[in-house]
Amino acid sequence: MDDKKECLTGNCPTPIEADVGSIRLSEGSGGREMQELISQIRSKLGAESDWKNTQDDAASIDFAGKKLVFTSDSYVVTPIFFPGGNIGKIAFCGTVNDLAVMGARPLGLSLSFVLEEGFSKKDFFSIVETIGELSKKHGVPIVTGDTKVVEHGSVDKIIINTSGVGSAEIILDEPLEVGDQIIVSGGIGEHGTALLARRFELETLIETDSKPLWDEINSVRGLIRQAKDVTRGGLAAILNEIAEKNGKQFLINEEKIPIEHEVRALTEVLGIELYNLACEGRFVCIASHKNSDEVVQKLKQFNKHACVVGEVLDGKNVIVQTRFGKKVLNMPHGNIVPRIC
Amino acid sequence: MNEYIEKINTLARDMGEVKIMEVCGGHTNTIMRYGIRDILPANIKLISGPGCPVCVTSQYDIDCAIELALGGVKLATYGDMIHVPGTKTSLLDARARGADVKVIYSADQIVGEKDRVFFAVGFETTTPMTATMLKNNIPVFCAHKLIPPAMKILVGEMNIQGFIDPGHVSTIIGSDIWGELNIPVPQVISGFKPEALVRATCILLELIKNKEVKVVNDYPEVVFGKGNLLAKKLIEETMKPVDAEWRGMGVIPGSGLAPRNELLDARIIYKDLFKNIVSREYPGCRCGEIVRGMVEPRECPFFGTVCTPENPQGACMVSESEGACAIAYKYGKSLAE
Amino acid sequence: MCLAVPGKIIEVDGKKAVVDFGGIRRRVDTSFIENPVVGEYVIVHVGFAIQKVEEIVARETYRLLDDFDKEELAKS
Repeated sequence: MDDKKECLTGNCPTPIEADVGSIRLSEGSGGREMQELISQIRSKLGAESDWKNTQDDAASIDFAGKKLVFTSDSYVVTPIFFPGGNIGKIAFCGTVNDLAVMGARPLGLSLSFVLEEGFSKKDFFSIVETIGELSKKHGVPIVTGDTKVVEHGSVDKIIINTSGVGSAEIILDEPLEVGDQIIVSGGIGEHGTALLARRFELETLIETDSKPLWDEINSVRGLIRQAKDVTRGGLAAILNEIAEKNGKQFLINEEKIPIEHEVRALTEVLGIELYNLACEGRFVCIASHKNSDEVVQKLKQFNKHACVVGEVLDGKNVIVQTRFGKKVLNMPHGNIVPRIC
Repeated sequence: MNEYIEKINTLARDMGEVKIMEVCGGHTNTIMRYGIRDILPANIKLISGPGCPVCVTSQYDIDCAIELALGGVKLATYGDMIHVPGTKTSLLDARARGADVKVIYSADQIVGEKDRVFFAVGFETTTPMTATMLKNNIPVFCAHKLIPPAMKILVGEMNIQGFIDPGHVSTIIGSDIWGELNIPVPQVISGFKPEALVRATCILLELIKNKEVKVVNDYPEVVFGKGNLLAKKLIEETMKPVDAEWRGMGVIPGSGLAPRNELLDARIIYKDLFKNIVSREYPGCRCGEIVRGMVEPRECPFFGTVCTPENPQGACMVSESEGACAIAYKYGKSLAE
Repeated sequence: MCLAVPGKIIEVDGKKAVVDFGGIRRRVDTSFIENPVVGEYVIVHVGFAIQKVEEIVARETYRLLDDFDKEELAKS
């Protein structure tokens, strides 16, 4: 608390520095701070290996003439039940999707729980049943797992970890070319809207978009160069990540971005940016100009709002053409706070 | 819409540099989000004034709120306030250390909590909600600001040739009052869509060119002459005008509000807690000049270096929707970079 | 300081009302509105209705999505 230090005039307050000694909430929000944290973690691990794509959603390794793809993710969400789903659905779909966007057919998942003492068994089994139903429906078995229970107050109700293994003939990481088209697979921000509406006590009929994306990606994987699922950092994070990784500029036409009525309304009511709203069942993919129409037609069979939203250019940054001027779309940062003003 | 942009271009051709100030953070947000400055001619400058309630709140008031929280008083306030750096710490840090600070997004969330102090910030649009709390006997640390007195000061020293008046502030106080302020430049009350702001700019340029000093209500569907009488009546009943300190602008007479009932005025109830507060801003921080529109966020040496939205040193870097620096950081990255 | 959005009154209950904002609903305080009636439009700021407005104001606010819907209709 006593943070006065020497300075030139002798009476300057010390700048309020980010508390480097402890993890901040925003370092897990899918934006810039999280990227920085991850790169710090990497720098401490950094062992060389035969694994590839270790910067992507899932890593791959050559195995028995194919590519074995591996990913892992932990899930916490507030509230744990929300319109159209629960934390179990996110835990299943999130890991399946991290495999799918690499072009890998999901072969099996692990499922681990950290449970808080006192957490309702009814709620717990309802979550387990959700995962069981999805597993059967999509033919992705749960093959191993673990359960821990910790003292009341040590965690907030439930944490789920799922890891997944998939196999691919070709990994979806073809280099991008100028003129390639940027495609989104459906309406943006429905998961974020369902969650924020519940959190801020707003009523809406909109449900989470959470779903496994393998079928969709499987239908277009021969036609696209790369894909990435949109998650908690929203479109802003995902577009910046792909553009940066490929050393290209993305030009996005704001008017083209598909968005449901209620999602637009939520952005107005809470004063938040569409680009920062989470999705759990949408992906961005990039295809050559030649293939893009066919990709959109195929994706429309799954979601009528699939469409081209932009184009790959030389340069850097994600540029958005609004209905007035252009602007740079930055990585999101901090946590979503509703505007009052 | 193109007709207005064309007309602006035509008008601007025969004019020197024109400074137009918007005094509402909501307007600043729209202007930046839609890149409106980029589509205006170079000699037409839109300058952001003191329209962000978080930004204009004085360092002392923020320090008082932090002192309350650390002193064990339950506090409630609107979203961005908790991130604003005080002299030593912020409400967010105070909360991390166990202080009870509740973030609310709607004033009725704490009705009934009579032991919780509401740290009230905001302009005229938000004062009726604070008045409602006072009526419900909720104690208030009142840092509300009134826009018209600040505008009277800015118009002289900044050489502003026209004002874009705030839309929803006017919903409460009415459009008539702007004409009664003796502000010697034209004003246009505008809505919040990008189209509305382009049109307001166009109307202002015409008025400036014709040397017409008057107020045009270009948001008549939402703003009426006398404003919201029920809201004004409750404010009058529960609060009184007082002198208030603004960040960067010092004390402006009659520009603040305080509860009429001293038993609900946290400045009085907890005055002993505030005795030893010595407030200082981060040395070199240019927030004070930025809220006056004297410098652009990028002219501050700390912008984007030691001062970022993740780790704001000054108040203008806090509110992503209204703070001039945070908005510039979010949308203003130059296309050439 | 002014994020205030228009919505339609769906239900009135004393000094409270349920307001629909293009598919998002919430309860708001109507103390500052004279005689709120179901079907009317109001502008809401931090949980309070501050002004009755015409329907057109709400429609303009949600203009973009109306265009989107029209486009969809044309295609289907």
